[in-house]
Amino acid sequence: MNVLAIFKREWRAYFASPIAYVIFTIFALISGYFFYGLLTFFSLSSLQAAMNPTFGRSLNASEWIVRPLFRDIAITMLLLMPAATMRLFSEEKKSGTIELLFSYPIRDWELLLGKFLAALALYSVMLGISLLDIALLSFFATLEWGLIFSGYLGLLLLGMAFLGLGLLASSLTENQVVAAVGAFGVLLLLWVIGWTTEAAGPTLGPILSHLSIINHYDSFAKGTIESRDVIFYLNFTLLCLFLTLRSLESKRWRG
Amino acid sequence: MDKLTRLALPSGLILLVAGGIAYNIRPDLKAWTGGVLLLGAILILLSVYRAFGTITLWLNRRSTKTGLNVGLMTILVLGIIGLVEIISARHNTRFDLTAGRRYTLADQTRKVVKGLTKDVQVTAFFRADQAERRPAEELLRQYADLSPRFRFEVVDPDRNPGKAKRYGIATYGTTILEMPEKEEKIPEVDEERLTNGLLKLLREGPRIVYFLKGHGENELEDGSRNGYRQAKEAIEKANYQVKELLLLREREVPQDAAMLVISGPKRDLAESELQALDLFVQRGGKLLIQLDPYAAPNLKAFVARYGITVGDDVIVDQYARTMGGDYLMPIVSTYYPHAITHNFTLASLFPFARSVDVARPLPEGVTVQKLGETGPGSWAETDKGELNRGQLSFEQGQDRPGPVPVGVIATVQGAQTDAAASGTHTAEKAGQEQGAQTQSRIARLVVYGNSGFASNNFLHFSGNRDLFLNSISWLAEEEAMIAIRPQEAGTTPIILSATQGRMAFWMLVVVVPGLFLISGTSIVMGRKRSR
Repeated sequence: MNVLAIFKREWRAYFASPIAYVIFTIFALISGYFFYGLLTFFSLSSLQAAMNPTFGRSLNASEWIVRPLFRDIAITMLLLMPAATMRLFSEEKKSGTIELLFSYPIRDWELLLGKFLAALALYSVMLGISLLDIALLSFFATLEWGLIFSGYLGLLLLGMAFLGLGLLASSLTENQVVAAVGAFGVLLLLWVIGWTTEAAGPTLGPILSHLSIINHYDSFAKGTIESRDVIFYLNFTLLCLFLTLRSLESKRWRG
Repeated sequence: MDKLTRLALPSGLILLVAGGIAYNIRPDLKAWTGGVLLLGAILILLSVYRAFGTITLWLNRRSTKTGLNVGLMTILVLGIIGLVEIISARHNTRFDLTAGRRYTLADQTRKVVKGLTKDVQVTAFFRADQAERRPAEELLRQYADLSPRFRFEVVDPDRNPGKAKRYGIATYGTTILEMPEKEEKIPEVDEERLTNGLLKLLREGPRIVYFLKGHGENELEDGSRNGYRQAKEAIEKANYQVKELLLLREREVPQDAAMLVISGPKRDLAESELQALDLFVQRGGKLLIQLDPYAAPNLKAFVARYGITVGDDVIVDQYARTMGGDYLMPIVSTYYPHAITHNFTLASLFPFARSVDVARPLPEGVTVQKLGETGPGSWAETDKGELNRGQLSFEQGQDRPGPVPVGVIATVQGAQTDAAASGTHTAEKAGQEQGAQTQSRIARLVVYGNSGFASNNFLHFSGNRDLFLNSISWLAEEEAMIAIRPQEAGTTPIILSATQGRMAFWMLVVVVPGLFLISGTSIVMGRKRSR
């Protein structure tokens, strides 16, 4: 029950401030624009193929539009999610309300879970906005719903990882800017860490590639679900939440 | 002294870190960096010794104990998560949700890779920024997931020129499959090439496809429309050696023949050649015979012994005309279930073909099956005069009504005893080596009423190539080489009208974000005002 109470409080807080609206607007604008770009490019390619059938390309809307769209959405989320999580603990620390919360009969994990779920709900609404693009696309072409399902499942798992790290960053500092920039920096680093695989050599290379947060998303975007990718995101999220709990706890024993 | 202690710890730490970095950059300065590391360690130990009293005091504090506890727990959780990661990375399960499961390996591939009994090391040479690298890596990873014996590495030939030189890599994308003392090079990484490369690597001895010559057969080196050069290249790409056979000189089909192809002979075979063929079938040989209309009548009698009736006719297909072809280019789109036509959906085109059917009753020890037939609008024209005049019409009672079969397969139980077949010793030995002696006794025949469908001009038409290569693979008893065709996503082109394009733009880029903006502004402003 406590989790629900925290969830409601955070959910309301998102909409009391302009944060939610700004995030929704920016996300709708960016994802809509990405989609429009992909759609017109695909339409142009289709036209070229129609005029010159020997081109012999397989023009599949799911492969050409939906798959890159998912990747674009993932990048947008990388930029926006730290903004959604930055204030969750930092603000409470700064304003001192965290002391108040600690004095309530709420367990740390309930507090954490409530906040996490609120952020996840916000994230899910954003994914819902991107469904408008898919809905529009389904008027023009037959889509592969299996691929779309796995793409969204992957985005959800990826988003959980983003939010977990954002929460951790927010719990470590009382400065919201530091929390947002810190979370974004670490996520970006984890995003690009796979780029140096080649130079890192045969031992370190696969480890770096495995740590790359986006490498695990590729299989979802192309329409397959791999157990190791699902487990990676769940593990990553759990680790972040665990560390956040420890960070909250430390307030008590460090005094 | 206290000041000294306070300085010793940070400087010791700095020295340790600096030494470590220096060693990583210049491993050759071992002695020097070793000295720095040692000095750092000594300084740290010294500071610990000096501050021993403070440390014990700090250790006994409750918060320290809790902190250490938490630290230990964190390490434990990290360890568990790391372990789960390692296990999950090694034991992967995948669900393919794409239409047609295009990211799932073919059953044949799974069988081959799972059945590996020796280690296979695959080295793919791709430039780091090459677009094909990612898909190739993904494919190789799927193979590796199937068997721990399959290992792969993707190497940039520009950064590892030594390795590239060792394998003689000339072009990007070249991939080496290696087993002890054996290696196989494939020019590109795709499922068909990889699996067939594996099969070739696992195979003992070369497999040779012989093409009979001396009777006006299709020319293997001929690159013109009617030639067979592309067919030859396609067979070679499927890992066979292609050779020509002048049976008049050799007198018997060589023992190393995986199969013999008789492709569109224009003149009759000599009696001795037919005997050699008969012997070949008796010892379990594999034959692909393509007979064009009105040619080589004695081969017609030869295949009749194995329950195959070849008609003295030409197939006329009215439907073909509507597709833009000639009346005499029947289209085959009905296939009967068989390894050769398994999962076959493409039509094939047979320019100038005769009917080939199953004889009733069948001779003993022979099973014959139709492969494919033309559509209902076709018939087999028996009147050659009509054909010459160019006025074709179906005559009830005289012409054979459609659908007309154009290809059959036959399996023949070898009736001959070991002693009777010439050169049985080697055959026997080869049979024992393969451990499938009885199976290799069964001869296989594929007979088509046309040879033009695999000529340069028609090979790449729709399903022709697959039909031809599948026939070859089935004859070679390597069904594994069948059915691994790259799966492609279905084509769903979208051509937007200008209105639709503008509508998409306004809807998604202006209206939807605008609604969020307006609702957000009004709610936040409203709150401010009400405050």
